[in-house]
Amino acid sequence: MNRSLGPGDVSRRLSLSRREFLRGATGAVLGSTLTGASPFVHGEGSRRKRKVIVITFGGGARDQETFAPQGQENIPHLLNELAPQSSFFTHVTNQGILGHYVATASLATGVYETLNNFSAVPPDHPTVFEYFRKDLRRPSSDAWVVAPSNGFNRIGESDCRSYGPGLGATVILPKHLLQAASSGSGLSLDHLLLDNYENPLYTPTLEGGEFELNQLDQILRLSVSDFMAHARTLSSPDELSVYIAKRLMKEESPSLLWITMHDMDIAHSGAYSLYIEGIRRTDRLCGELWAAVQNEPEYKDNTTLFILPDFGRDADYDAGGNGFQHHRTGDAASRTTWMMALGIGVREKVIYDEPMQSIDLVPSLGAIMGFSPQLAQGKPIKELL
Amino acid sequence: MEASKKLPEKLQDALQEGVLKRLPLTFLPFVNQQLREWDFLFPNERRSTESLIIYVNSRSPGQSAALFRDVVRLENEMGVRQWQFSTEEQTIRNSSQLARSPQFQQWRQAVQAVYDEADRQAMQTSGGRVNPRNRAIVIDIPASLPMEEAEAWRHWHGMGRRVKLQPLAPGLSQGGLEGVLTGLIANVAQAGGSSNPREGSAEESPGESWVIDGASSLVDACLAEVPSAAPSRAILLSYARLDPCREILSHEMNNMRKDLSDADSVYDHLRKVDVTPFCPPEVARDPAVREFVRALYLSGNGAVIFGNSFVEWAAAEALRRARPRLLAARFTLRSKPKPFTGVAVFENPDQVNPLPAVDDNPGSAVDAEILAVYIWLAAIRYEEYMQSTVCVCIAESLGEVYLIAPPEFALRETTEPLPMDRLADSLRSWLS
Repeated sequence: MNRSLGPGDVSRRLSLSRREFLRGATGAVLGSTLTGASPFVHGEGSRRKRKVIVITFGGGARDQETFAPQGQENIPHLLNELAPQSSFFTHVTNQGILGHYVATASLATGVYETLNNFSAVPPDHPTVFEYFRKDLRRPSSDAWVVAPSNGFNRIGESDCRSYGPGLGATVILPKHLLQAASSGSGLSLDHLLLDNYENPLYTPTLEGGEFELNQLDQILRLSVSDFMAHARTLSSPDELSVYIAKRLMKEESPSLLWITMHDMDIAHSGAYSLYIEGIRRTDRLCGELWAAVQNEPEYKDNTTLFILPDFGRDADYDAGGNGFQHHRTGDAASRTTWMMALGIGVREKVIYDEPMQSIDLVPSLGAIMGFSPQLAQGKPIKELL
Repeated sequence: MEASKKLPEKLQDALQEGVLKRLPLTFLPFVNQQLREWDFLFPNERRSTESLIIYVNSRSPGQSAALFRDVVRLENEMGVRQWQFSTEEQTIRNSSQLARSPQFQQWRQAVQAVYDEADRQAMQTSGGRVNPRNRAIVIDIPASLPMEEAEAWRHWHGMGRRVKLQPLAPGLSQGGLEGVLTGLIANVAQAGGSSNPREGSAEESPGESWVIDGASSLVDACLAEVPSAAPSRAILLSYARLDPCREILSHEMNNMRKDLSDADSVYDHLRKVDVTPFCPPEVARDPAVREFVRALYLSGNGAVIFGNSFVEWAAAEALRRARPRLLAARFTLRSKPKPFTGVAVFENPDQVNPLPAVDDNPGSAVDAEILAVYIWLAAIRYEEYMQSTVCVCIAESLGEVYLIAPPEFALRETTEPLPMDRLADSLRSWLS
């Protein structure tokens, strides 16, 4: 129980508990004890080959179900496979609006966006995809987003005048594809698109920017029937997302790939066991995606993977909330989370306790990949440079 | 669902004197909605609104301006006057605009400070007494939900202690519990006054007993066994008996959202759907209870999807809104979600996916274990429950209870396996 602690105390305590647990579990060392040059190579040739994959959890997870001792059984892949290879940032705060679309948009722009979480609107500020493509003159095939629900279909590019249309990432909504693919088959999957766990009363309609069904074949080299057949073997939207992401890696090899997982947000329905199941599935899928990186020649040995929840969930003891179910209180548990970075250029088995903000991701990606996110308000994470 | 206005005289006087003009803009949606829907409020809610308005009206203009100074300052910083902000009712647009404001957390604190001040004044006026009567929360996790002995109570973090129950004869466990609860409800009913829950002023406390059932057997037993005067004083909510109501709302949600432009339009429409013909009699006869149920289903908390979410959310809302003396809740078994059925979006998975439903006994137990704690945590947010409330959570599959009790409760220190009838007697005596 943390009832007598202030938000800052709780936030620090969460961070410290992650650190202590990870040090014990993975034998990691504290980042502050390291000295020496950055492991990142800043040569232009390396940058051109470098791939970055970002996995966000668009359904926060709390420490007690993940990195706290009682949660470790839920994340064996993150803990035993990925954490030992990673730099782990124990104290990431999100000071913005705690809705999944707006928070993910904030992660992607490096600015705390204030758009309506439940509307299909683009971010106000340029996204990482626009900075990447414009500054580095990359084609549209080099930046992709695989996102969980209708609300995310505008996340690929902003409506900022100097960036905006034509410079962003293509967004794939796998469930939308599945629904489109099933039309005319007698199997109605319209319900898949009513998928907003946060506000089930309303789901915005799609308005442009998303991947179309006919591109399945053209880009992913996947027939509708093969796609449908494979989808039937899966049990959740996130499994479908990872399937599409792996297909994209194989066929398009984008340099910047952003995947948002959503299954664990079923917590909003109040079923704790399904929330835990969602965390375990996400943990497994992160492991699968990292394995795919090792198996794809285009990605092996030149990919950096970032994994972070967009934010946490409410603490059990916050009087304004309903525990794991929501993220409405703005308490420390809902605002404090973590980030894992692994792969090329990242120190392994290092834990960093220094507080950072979720909007620091985009400036850090800019520094790593060589573009300049001018309007982002976060700061590059020095431990990654 | 427009309510007729039967406001207390003092409140009407304050309104006629223009008290609402003294309230900040962001108070108006809530207060106006409370006043308009007065018939649908529980006495505790009426008391809270009444005490705020009468308190503000009792202050000089300067004093009330001082009371709201922080709220008004924050409203100016947020630019509320430039928003498309409804002052008539709470809307999703309102909430969204507030939540998107950088000052949102400060604004929440400032609003809370105003209510705290009004409550302090009301306490002083009433001689500083919080209703001192003993209270009880009885939660049942039925035998079909297999709890693991080592893990069963971990979410309670040592707030109470586990006590073994004496084994009942096979097949008697549920009947035994239902006997306990119906007896307790009768007890609370006898201790109360008027038998008409909507009669009288905010000083009375109808609906002092709430029974919230994830299935129907507990409510069925209450309807069958409680003395004839009691049901009108006990609010009985059964997830299964409310199936038709839930289905009509789900049907409306899934059909109309294609044609409406935003969440508020959807919400407005759903508030106007006449659910009375689809409610069981014990809900249909009381407008406040009927609207309570509708609000549960529209709040996006899983109450429309899973019986256990319904139990927890209904209990938390009952505690917040009505402050019952006795709250009894029974969890239930749910089915496993079917792949890709959009489980959290008001879909009936059996209609969407033809695969047969499969019970999820372990998953239901895991859900109930933590949701039971949340019911207790929801209670102890309120002063009424902090000192004199007994909480008993029965784990039928383990043959034990988890007990949180003040020192005065007779069984607080018991170490021996407890017969169910002794537990019942102690609770009855506690509530008498």
